[in-house]
Amino acid sequence: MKLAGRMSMIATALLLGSSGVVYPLKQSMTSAQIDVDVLESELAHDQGVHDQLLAAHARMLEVQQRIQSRPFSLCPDSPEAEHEFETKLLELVQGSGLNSVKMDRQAENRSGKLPSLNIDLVVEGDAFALHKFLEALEGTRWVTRVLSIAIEPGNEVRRMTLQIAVMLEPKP
Amino acid sequence: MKRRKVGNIGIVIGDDTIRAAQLVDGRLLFTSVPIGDNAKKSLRQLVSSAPFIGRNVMVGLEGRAVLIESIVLPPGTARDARKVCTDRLKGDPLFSADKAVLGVAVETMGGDAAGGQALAIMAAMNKERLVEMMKACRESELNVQGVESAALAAWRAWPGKGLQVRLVRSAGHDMVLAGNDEKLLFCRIVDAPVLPAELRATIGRAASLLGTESFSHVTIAGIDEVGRAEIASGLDIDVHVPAQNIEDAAAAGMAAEGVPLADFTPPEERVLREKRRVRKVGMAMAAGCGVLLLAAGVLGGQHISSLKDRKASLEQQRDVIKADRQQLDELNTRLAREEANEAVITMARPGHRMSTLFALISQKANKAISLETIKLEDKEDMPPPGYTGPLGRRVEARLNGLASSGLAVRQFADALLATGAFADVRVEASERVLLAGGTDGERFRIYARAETH
Repeated sequence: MKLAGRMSMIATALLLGSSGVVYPLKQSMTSAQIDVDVLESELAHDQGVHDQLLAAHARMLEVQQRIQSRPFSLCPDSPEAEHEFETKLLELVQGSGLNSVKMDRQAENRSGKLPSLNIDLVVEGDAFALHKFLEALEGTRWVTRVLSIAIEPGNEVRRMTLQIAVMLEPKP
Repeated sequence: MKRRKVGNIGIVIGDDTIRAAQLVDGRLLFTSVPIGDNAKKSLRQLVSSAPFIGRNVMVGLEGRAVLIESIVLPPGTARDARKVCTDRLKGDPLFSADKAVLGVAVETMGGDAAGGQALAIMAAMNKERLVEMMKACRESELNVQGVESAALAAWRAWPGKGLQVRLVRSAGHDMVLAGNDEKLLFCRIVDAPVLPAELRATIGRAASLLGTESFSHVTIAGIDEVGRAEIASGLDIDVHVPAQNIEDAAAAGMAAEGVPLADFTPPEERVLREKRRVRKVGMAMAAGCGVLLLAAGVLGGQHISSLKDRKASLEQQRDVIKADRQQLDELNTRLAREEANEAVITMARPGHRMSTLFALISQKANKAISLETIKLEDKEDMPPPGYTGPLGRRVEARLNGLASSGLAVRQFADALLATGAFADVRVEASERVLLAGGTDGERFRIYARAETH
């Protein structure tokens, strides 16, 4: 074989060898570049998330401050809070000069838009005591609603049946 | 680093010694070793005896293995010089055609077209000795670049201008060389020391062959000052020495660059030389390729590493954003709940105070009114079909009792309406009754409605 032929053969072999080495390198580079491009694209798409989070935080603080600034709130929907309300109710009854005859706790009303805990209360007392009780009830920090008052005939001290609802926090 | 300028190592293989020279950065290195039974060992000893650079050698033979003659060819026979020389050597025990390699250099005096006589230098090299030396060189890992007669190469030992004659003593022989500029045209080898008369005759013959009456001077190399003085006394021309100190003209000529007058390089050595060139160029290409690949690998590796770092950084950012998004979703859920709670609170807060309504009813019931039963109910309005929004509420009061008169009932109802708390007050029933104690009274039933939410 002539000199040029041998040189060509060596050059071809070197070229093929080089390609064999360089090609996987190029593949690795391409693959890594694609990964980076995909990640950059994802990050560009989600660029506003942090700002949205900050805005949501600010809005949450605003709502919480507004809620906290109100003198009344919903009763937490938990057994502890409900028990606390019942205790408070009995304290109000006694504090206003009424005599508690019966207190029935009805099933929680969750069918309506406003879930509530309803309590039937039978008391005895005069009109002044009832008025005092109603004022005290309206002065509590929880939102309550007197659904009905029925006063039976009698003299100064009468039997009264009240249906009281305390509004519960909606469950998430 | 500065690259050193070096030439081939010129090796002269004589009968008793092997000598070598190399031009390194313009300075000639010389060395010499006696030739023993083992030529390979002698060659290795020679190469290692001086700081020679590289393994490329020009090999020159001298002594019994080489025959050199200057012959004059008749006019018109220049083209048949090789045949003339072959015929001349026919039957020679050492240099016949089958035992020696023949080299012929022909120079036609006055030009070939002029039809003048031609000068030929015939060199014959014994094949057996040549093969033996080539084998020794190969075994000594020397790269033979060419083979020629050391005597003829001695002409290249130093430069000269115009017609000139030289006397070179080397390895027990005196060589009379004559030529024009760089071209050697005449060579005669005699045993040293050459007699003055013979030297004079040889110089005269050379002058006549070169077409000149005489030479102005003879340049002598390889002979000490005393010897030169003796030679000068026997000659009628000046005796010069080369400008630079030439210790061994034959070896120096072999080491000098130039075109061999008669190339005796065996074909297999040429093939080997080609192979060496291919290997050298191939190695150079492979080295270049390797360097390029290494550079590409390093750069590519760095780039890939950089991309991987970038990817890791981006993945961290992605994780942070993912956490932010999850937090945002949770926060939005909580916010929606808080806002719903806020709406519920607003909606759940009654639009009236039951204590106020009860107080108003109690206050407006004066001495003429006795309330037996009171019923207050907070009712939700019936929604229209398909309506899902917040519903209005109303507080209804049903009052039953006794009054002193029908007028008192009316006045009580009017008083309730006048409070503005009730939107509607109606006396649903009122009838005259006899009370205990024999007094008349009025039994009544009043319905009142307060609008709220």
